[in-house]
Order: sequence, then C-alpha cells, then structure tokens
Amino acid sequence: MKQTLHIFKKDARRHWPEILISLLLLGLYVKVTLHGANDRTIDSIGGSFPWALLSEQSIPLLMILFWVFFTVRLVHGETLVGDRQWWISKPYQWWKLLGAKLLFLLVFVCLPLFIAQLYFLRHAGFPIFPNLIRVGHMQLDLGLTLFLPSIVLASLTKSLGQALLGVVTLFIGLMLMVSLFEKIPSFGMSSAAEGIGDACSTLFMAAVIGAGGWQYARRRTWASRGLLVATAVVIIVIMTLTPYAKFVEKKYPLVDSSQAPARIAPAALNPSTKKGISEERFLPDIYLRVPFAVSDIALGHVVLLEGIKFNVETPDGSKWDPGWKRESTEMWTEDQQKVVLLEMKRKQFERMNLQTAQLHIELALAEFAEKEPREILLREREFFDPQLGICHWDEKDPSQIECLRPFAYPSLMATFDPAKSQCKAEERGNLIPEDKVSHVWFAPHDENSVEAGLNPIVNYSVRFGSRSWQASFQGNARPRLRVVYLCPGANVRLAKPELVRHIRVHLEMSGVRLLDLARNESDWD
Amino acid sequence: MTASIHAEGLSKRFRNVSALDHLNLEVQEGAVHALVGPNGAGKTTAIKIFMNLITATSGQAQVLGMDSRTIRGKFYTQIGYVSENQELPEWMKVGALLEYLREFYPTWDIELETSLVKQFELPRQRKIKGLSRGMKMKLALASALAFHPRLIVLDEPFGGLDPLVRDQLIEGLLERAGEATVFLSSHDLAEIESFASHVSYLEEGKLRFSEEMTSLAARFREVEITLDKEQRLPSPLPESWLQAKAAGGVVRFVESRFEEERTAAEIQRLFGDVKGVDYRAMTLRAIFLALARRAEQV
Repeated sequence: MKQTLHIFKKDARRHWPEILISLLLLGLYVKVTLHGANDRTIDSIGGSFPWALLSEQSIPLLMILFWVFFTVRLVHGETLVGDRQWWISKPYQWWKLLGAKLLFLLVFVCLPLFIAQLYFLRHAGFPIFPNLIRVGHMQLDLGLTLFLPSIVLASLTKSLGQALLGVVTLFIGLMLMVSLFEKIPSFGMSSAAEGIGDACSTLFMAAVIGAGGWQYARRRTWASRGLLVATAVVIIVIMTLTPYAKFVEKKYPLVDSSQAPARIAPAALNPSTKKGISEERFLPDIYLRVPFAVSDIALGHVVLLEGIKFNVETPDGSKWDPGWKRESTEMWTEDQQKVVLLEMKRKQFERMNLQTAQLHIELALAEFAEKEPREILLREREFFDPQLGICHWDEKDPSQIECLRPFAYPSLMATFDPAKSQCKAEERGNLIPEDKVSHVWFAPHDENSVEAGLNPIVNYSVRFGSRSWQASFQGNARPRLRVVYLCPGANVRLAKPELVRHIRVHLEMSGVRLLDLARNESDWD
Repeated sequence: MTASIHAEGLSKRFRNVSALDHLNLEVQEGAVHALVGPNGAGKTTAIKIFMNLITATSGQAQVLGMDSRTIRGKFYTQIGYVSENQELPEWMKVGALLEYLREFYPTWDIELETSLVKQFELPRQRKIKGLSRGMKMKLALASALAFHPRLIVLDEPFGGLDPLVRDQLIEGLLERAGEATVFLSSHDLAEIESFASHVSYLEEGKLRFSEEMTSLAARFREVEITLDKEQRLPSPLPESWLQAKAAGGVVRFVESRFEEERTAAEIQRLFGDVKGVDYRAMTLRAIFLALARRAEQV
C-alpha cells in the first residue's frame, strides 16, 4: 500500500492540470445538465465561439474523451511498451503500480463524478441513501466500459499517437465486423441466441482484463495484443457460425394460428398496374410493404412482432430467403392492420417482381399482459408515481407526460382512452384531436438494472399516439394530423408488462406479385 | 568465488537476425567486468536479458543467483542499472526524482545521495528535460548507486560524453566498486582499461573470450622481427599470430598467446636465425583492433 500511495502522490503532482480540467468539465456538465447550456454561466465564460460548442450534448462527450486521454496519459507515465523506460528496472511491484493508477482514477475522476451523481439524485428529488448501491453500479459500469478499455489501450501502446492509432484500428475493425455480421443470415435476431451473446461478452471482457493484467505483470506487449486479436477472431468465428435461425425457432415455438394470441393474416393487396418500379432507381434496395390484418388481441394484452422471416418462391424456380429480420411492431386490441417493411436488393427484386410468387412468412411474436394494472389521474402540477417517477404534464406538448426516474426507464404498458376522460381539445390548424385509444409501450427489463451513462436521472416522456399520427388526404387539402390531447384530471391506465409467451406463426400468401408489395409513396395512408 | 552473473547458451534472435549466439559468460562477484565489442555485437541485448527487460530466445542466465526471467519487483533493490538510452521522467526535477526513488529502496543512503549529487554537480531544482546528456547520465548513475546495490550494470555509460564527465562517472563508480560487482558494456576501450578487472569480448553475438585484464595484457604482444634479408611470409602461420605483415626485411604481427620462450621458438622455426625480435605490450584498444580486423578478414 505504501508503494501504491507513493506512486499515487507522484501522479497527483504530475497531473494536477489534467485534474483541474477534469473537474472543470465535470462542473460544466453538472451546470448544463441542471440548467441547460444557454445561461449566463456559459455566456460569461466569454463570447460565443468556441463556447457555443458547449452544450448538454457536447460537454459529456468532451468530458468522456478527455477522461480517455487522461487515463492514457496517466498509464503512459509508466509506459509498459518497450525496454528503455527508466522505471522498469526499479523495484516497482506491478500490482501496486496498477493499484496506484486505479486509485488515482477513483479519487480524481470517479469520486467527483459519484458526488455529482448523488447531487443529481438529490436535485431531482430522489433520496440518496437508498440509491447509493445503484450509483455504485453505474460507476462500475462506467469503469468497465470506459476506464478499463482505456487502461488496456494505454498499457499496450507507447505514446498518445500509438493510442490514437489503436482507437482508429479498433474503429475500423468494428466497422468491418458490423458489415460482416450484416451479411450473416438471421443475424438481426441474434438476441434470440442469448447464451452465445453472453458468452462472447464474457470472453471479450476476460480477454481485455487478461491482456491488461498480463501486460502489467509481464510486459509482454505483442503477446497481450495477440490475446486481444485472437479473442476477436474467436468471437467473430462464433458469431459467424452460430445458427441464429435455430435459436429463433427454439425461442419462438411454432403454434397453429388458432392458438396465436392474435389473429394475423395477410391483408388483401390492391393489384398494381405498374410494370416496374421507377422511382429512386439509384438506390440499391427496394422496400416491400407487407400489410397484415390483425384482430382478436385480448384486452390488456399487447402482441409484439419481434422478428419476421420472409421466403419468396417464383414459378421459374427463383428463391429469395434472407433469413430472420428483426422487427419491432406493437399490436394492441384496437389495431386492425399493421404494415411491415422488408428490404430487398434491387437486382433480386427485378428478377422476380413481375411473376406471381408464393410467399412463406413466419412471424416471431411475444405476448405480454398487464400486471398490477391501475389508473392514475393526471395532475396539473408535478406528481410522484412509484412506477413512473417524478412527472408532469405540460400543455405545450399535450400528448406526453414528462418524467424523471432514477437509473432506468420503467417497464410500462400505458393506455389512454379519450372517451373516458374530459379532455376537451379543439381542432387547431392542421391538428385534430385523436378520439381512439392510444398506448405507450416500454419493453420490460430488470427493475434493478441501471442505464449506462453519467447521469443517474433518466429524463423520458410517456408519449401517446406518437406511433399513430395519421395524415389524411382529401383532394388538395393539407394533411391533417391526429394528436392525442391529455389534460389534468385525465385517466391514464398504467401496468407493468408481464411476458405471457413467445410463439411463432406461419402464414402463406399465394399468387402475389412483388411489384404489388413494392413501396410507393402514394400507398401511404 | 561465486558468480554475480552466469549465462549459459544464451541466444536471442530478432526475426532472422541473430543478436546473441549461445553466450556463456560468468561475472565474478566483486569484479569490474567489461563487456566489449563493436557496435551491434550484442552487448546491449545481453544486458537487457540479464535485467529481464527482454526475453532470450533460448538459454538461461542467473543474476545474483536468480533466474533472470523471474527478476522483477523487489529484486531490483539489489541492482543499479544505467543505460545510455534510458528514458528518464523528463517532467520531474532532479531532486524530486531522487526523493521519489528513495521510497523504493530500503537501503537508500541519503548521505551518499547528497555526496553523489555534490560530486556530480547535479542541479536539484532543474527539470530533467533541461539537462544535458552528460548530466542525465550522472543523474542516472547517482540514482543507481545511492542504495548500495550488490550489482551495478551499466550499458554504454560513457558513449558520447565529454572527457570531464567521463572521468566524473568513472570516479563515482570506482568509489563504489569495492562493495559491488560492476558489469558494464562499452566500446570505449581506453576508459575500460584503466579500471576493469575482467574483460569479455563479444563479436557478432558470439563471445570470443572472457578473462582477467592482467592475463589478457600478458598474452598479447606486438612482435617485430628484423630479418637478415627480405623474405615472404611463410605459410601456414600459427593461428595465434594476427595481422602478420612483411616489408623490407621486417615482419610485424600480433601474438595472441604470448609466452616468450614459445613465441621465440616459433619464430626460430619459421624464420631461422633473425637479426632481432622486439616484443611490445599492447593497449586494450590495440588488442581489440587486432581482433576486429581478424574478424573482418575471416
């Protein structure tokens, strides 16, 4: 411990300017988070440019980038790469050196942030002590996602230039990986292969910790770099060879459509007189617009379309089977039709578009039911709800309830029925009040989880109708938008979503021309 | 006597280049042992392996009884290592670095530190960044001597330094030599000659010889034979004769296994009666030049 503190003190003496800059950025971050960037504080710093760049979005980014730079500088104080450094033949003990660097980050970066996070909680009106552990959890997440990779990056590089090159290489590598994964059939539904994803994450984290630890303990730079590259290769191989379709089929067992939580059938298509699709010819992809008729969803339930598999066969033997695609479409009791957009390569489309094709469609569905449903009365003033957090409604944006909540969004099914409320709204310009039931859906998650980030307070909106705004076309009249109007005294039904089951249904469409499915601007409602 | 450094079959390859080729070396405790050889001979590589700064491709070395591959952490409290290309913490002041290092060594001697700072005329308040190369070497040496190390390892400590600084460094080193083994590499042979007790010669990664300075000085002689008449060099010449040349009735060579009677008998055998023979003692520099030239010819 003595040696750790000794190195710590040396680093503190060396890096005091960086410590000051970090604290200044944190102070600015607290200021803009609580009061916005356009107040006198920023103005008083001096002029507009470059201070105009300081905003709620740019300051956290600037602060994080500075922390990465700071961590790299700190670790490079005792560079681990090379054999010419003065300190490597001195009686440093590697774990004490590493401990000193971690202690430094803990004291000068994490602790001030921790205090700021507690201040955010208190300022928002939430108690500090019951939330201490979850703030600690946020810090741990930040440590694992930001400081650990920065330490490992610095431990495997000799200079800031090399570290920057490392970041660029990593970025290019990630881009290549993403473009490779996009080509893997059914990769869009990789979330169905939960075990594989967890295993790869664990493997990656173990490799990062292992490479950093190994480098500190033995200074075997190329071996440590090799460990990271080898792990990346193993992960790519695992991700590439995983049979995602099998995992989807296992997670979503096939049921007969009569047992499905909703009656879903292909909707009738208007035959097109088109002989080809001409618009946007320069685009490499065509969007197929597949409408489904939806009915018989139980009250208090929502059915999520989480994935779709679309297989096309034409009489000339041509086939198109892109595998499972990720979807995110909600189907509520009141819904009658839903449309799914599918991307198809133009060349493929042009080979098949005029033929009558057989379409085999599989839908991966998740059914959720309301748990502990209750109704709340919307108030004119700020109110606290144990599920939503601290919320208020603002008549300037009457469709939504704005809320603050510590650590994460709630899992939520919310319903607003205008017929049951006394909210009177008049048509204003092109806005007309929505008279149908509206819903809000926040996917269920572990209630004790924390969102990754710096601020423990999540600022979110429960916005009704955002998905169902409609424009109607009446001759040459301007489109009119349907808007949900909430008001004080309105009844809003809240519930936690509870998973009922995952299922898969199979649908067939015969004698369909892909041309009739191709997106056309005039097809939109 | 025990060995402070013992290397056995030590080899190091950098891709296709062999930097060190089966080095067997023993550095006796208490010796001032110089590892000499031309640039690129493998001296620095050998030292870095002994210090566990790089790993050997094969073979092993023991330093103060410890396998060099396991040297780390506390073990360095026994070794003072200075290298000409060591990167010092340039942002620190001289005094701050010495104060900082004190805490790492239980045997750090503040009086000795003060005396070394005075002897080397080190400016405590100046940043290392602003020091000359010579000053940096003196600082590195002071920081390597102030804790009474059992082994002092110096890699080309005198390279590029002016004579005054060199003398200061050697003086500082010699004052400590009694209590520690000193192992240093250099191609600056004149300085080595004045204080090294042992010398090893490394060439193209191979150890050509390793012996005490006194025996080395005794076995090398510049020999000049004056003949009655001009004649060509006989063939073959003894292997121990280096750089043999004949001109105008005079034959000159370097005898690398000099024993007066044996050398005289060889001369008698090859040239018969000669007018005169002159044996001259050689400087270390002359010895190594002779060895290096032989290597070039081979």
